[in-house]
Amino acid sequence: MRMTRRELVTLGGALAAAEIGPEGFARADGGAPSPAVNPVFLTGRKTDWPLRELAAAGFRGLELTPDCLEEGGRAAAAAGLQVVAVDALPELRPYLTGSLSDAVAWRRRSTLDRLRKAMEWMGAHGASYLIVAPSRQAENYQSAQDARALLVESLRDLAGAGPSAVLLEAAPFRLFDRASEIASIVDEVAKPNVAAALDLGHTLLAGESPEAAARTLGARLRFVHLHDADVRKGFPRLDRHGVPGTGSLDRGEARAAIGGLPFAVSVASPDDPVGAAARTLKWLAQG
Amino acid sequence: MPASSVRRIPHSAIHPVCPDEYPGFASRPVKPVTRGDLDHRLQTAALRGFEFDRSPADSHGRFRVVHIGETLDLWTRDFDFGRVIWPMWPFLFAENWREVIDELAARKLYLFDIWAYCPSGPFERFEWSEYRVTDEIHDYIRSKLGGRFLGYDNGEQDGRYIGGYAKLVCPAPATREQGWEAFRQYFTQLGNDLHNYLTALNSLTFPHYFAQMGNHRMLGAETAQALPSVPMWYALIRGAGKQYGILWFGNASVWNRWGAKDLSKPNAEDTNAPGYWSGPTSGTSMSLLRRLWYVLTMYGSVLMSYEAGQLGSAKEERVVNGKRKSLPVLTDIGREYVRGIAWCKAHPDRGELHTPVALLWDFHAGWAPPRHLYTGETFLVWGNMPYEKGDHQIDLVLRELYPGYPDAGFYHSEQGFLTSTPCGDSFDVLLSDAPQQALARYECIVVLGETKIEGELLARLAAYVESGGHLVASAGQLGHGAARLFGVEAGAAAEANHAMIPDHPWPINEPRFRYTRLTWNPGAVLLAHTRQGDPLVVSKAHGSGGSTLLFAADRMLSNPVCSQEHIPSELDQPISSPYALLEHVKAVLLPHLRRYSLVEIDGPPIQYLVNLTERTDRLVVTLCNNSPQTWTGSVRPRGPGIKRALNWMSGKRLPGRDGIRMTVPPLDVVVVEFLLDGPAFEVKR
Repeated sequence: MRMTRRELVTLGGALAAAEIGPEGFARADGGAPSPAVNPVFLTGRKTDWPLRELAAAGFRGLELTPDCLEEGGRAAAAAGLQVVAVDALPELRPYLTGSLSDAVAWRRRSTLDRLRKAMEWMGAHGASYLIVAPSRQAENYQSAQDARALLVESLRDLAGAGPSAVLLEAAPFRLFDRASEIASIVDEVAKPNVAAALDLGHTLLAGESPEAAARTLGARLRFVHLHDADVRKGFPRLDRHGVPGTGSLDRGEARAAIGGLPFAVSVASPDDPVGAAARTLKWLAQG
Repeated sequence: MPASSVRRIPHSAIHPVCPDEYPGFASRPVKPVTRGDLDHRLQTAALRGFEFDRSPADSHGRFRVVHIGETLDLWTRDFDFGRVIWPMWPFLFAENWREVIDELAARKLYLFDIWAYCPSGPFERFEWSEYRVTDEIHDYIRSKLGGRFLGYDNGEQDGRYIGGYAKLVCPAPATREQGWEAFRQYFTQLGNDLHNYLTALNSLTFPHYFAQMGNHRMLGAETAQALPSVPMWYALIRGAGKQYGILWFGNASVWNRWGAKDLSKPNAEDTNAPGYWSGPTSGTSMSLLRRLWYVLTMYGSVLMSYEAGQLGSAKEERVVNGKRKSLPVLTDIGREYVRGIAWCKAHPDRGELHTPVALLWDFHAGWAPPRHLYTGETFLVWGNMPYEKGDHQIDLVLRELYPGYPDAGFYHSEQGFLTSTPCGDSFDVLLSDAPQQALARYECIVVLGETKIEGELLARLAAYVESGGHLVASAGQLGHGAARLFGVEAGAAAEANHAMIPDHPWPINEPRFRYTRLTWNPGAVLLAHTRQGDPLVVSKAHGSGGSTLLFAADRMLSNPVCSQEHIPSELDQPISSPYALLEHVKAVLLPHLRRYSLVEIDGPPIQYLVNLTERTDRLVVTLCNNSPQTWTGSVRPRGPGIKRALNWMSGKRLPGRDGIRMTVPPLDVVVVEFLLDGPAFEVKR
């Protein structure tokens, strides 16, 4: 179902009225515009995003990925959106782009180099959050303890790379996918600008309740990703980043997990990006 | 399909794949291995690694390969296991790596599929590690071995990608194109590390993609183990080979899901001390290894091997070239291997496998069997996207052609690795980017999956039909402009729960199914319909001798018959499907497909292959009995009578004029050469 421009504008008003919008979150987070949206996930493209339509739908912030910062930043400014966060998960693919605990030393260094550059850009453009995730354990020659130690070392390294916060987020099919593990790693890193993000779809895939995961993370939690996952018994567990309401995400749980925090819609819907993003906000605002 | 629309004497493509005859071969930066490279004969591989003076991992990079000559002598002269060397990679980084290459060159041996590249494994381990071949090494190998260097191993990496990496793609692909892109990125990285000079030892169903990438020299598979069903799998591998102009090889693994066959001490008890089962009764059975040799050979493999286990621990005195030597004894695997090589030498004129029918689906499908070794989850494409209805269609049609194929790797009894073939082992799989000349090899093409017949594909298929080909599809696959090719106009969707089929007076019951209301144009023929007269199957004969056959039911399937939630995948149990292939589809489609076979088989279910040469009065029929019971039945060539039938396994003649009655021992294979009193086919040029 595609939404008309008129419906989008109406929706923006509804969100503000429900206090799930920029006003509410600006108060909670000292100014990070919210809701944000990740146009790379949404469209499946690194460029050519419908940012004006997204702004009309009520979005105020943008979340980018590290490989499209320059162009994305320009596009955001042109559309009156502020880059709030950089989600590095697509850049954290072991073997390909690398990971924070890669057993191949040169690849981990190269990953850190790229993320440090992203943080430099973020510092210059006022983007608040770099979101990263643990990796899978290497197939051979790496214990879970080794992987964790490398992850902690990498996070400490990134913490010194700029003023932005580095937020560790649990991700499915990786070594640490539960909120308690993320909390423990953040505590071990013990850097003031290293904290946690919570991805509601990932939380479902890990078998956790979003609300409980948010509670576990407590004050460490700074940012939330909103999308849905289908965790029905017998169906494959896929990180499909669906529109909320199409999977297993409960609205009440989602609202409780987000609370007053800034959040980004990280839905994937190349066929109908604006409609999917708008439906996500509408779903959140309902009831 | 009216019988009259199938030629009485079929035109059969018997020309083997010759990569150097494919368009663009001369300009390809990485050329597929040619038959000339292989001296126009079957090559065999055995030696799997070299000996070092010390552990490479403990040597700080200072280690040497030792006993090069003796090792090569053992595997290529003392025992004639073949001329192909198939080593693990660390020798490339030995101080004397050039000596190895020089020795291979001096002996005119082949270097094949250098193995054990493993993503995310540190190089310094010199085992399952990532390594990057330097220009110096690569250029030296190529300069010394030329075409006899067959490539670095892309070894079971498709399974590794699906099992270990696909799920990490965040977000998971929303489109098939994104699924392909993620897959491509992984293999681009692998190719770049290995000079884009690869041999694919597939472990899943992605050979077309490797061939399409243009950086592979050969395709093959690690058969047995806990990997896919071989008849289904090689339908894909052969199809990829024919579509992209690349040869294929065969290999059978001694491993299964639970352990490995080890015959080095034939009287030892099996043990699970290493963490897996190992011993004389562990791993792949001897009977499966034997059957795989003959089946893979008759599939047209240009290089054959057993993974390991040819030599035992004990030694014996043997005379080799007049000299007494103390050599390891041959194991049963080694004996079967030597016997297989000798059999191939004795029967060089095995011909080309007759595969008159192509199954065709969309390039971006990323289709994989409903379950496999690399994930506990079921019904996925690209490893990270759920099956759509068309993917279930592929699965369910394959279950008709290769009954029980999804069982491969899941049963202790080894069922599913080889299956019976009710319509003959006579199918290849093409993807929708297949060029016209690839389509032209086939008498019939069946379009499956979420494929849309429109645009360029429609043009190619229309040309195929106009040149005499027979095309099968379902109405849900008709894209813009396609209905006319099938002699119909497509209307609204409807539902039914029955069908009227040919030669049957009453409606047959079906699970409820959706279909497209069709109106058929003059010249089309109705083969099945609802009680109310809605067409369910429409055939159209084309002036060229070609024909089309269109099924109205959505993907030829029922509506869901159960929820995926209730379909477990467990060891030693079959896996069902949330859909059913409709009965009227089976009633029309399966006889249609059987018509293209050149022989008729009467008897219990059995796997059968037909091989052809330029002699149109000669058929070579392979009967592979995958049952523990003796098979007794008859084989009858369609059309001409039998002048002579010779059992190639026993060397004995078999009596019979119209057909021969014969037995195949349990879990064994028999190959019979038929000379006929007239042509069974015409050669398609």
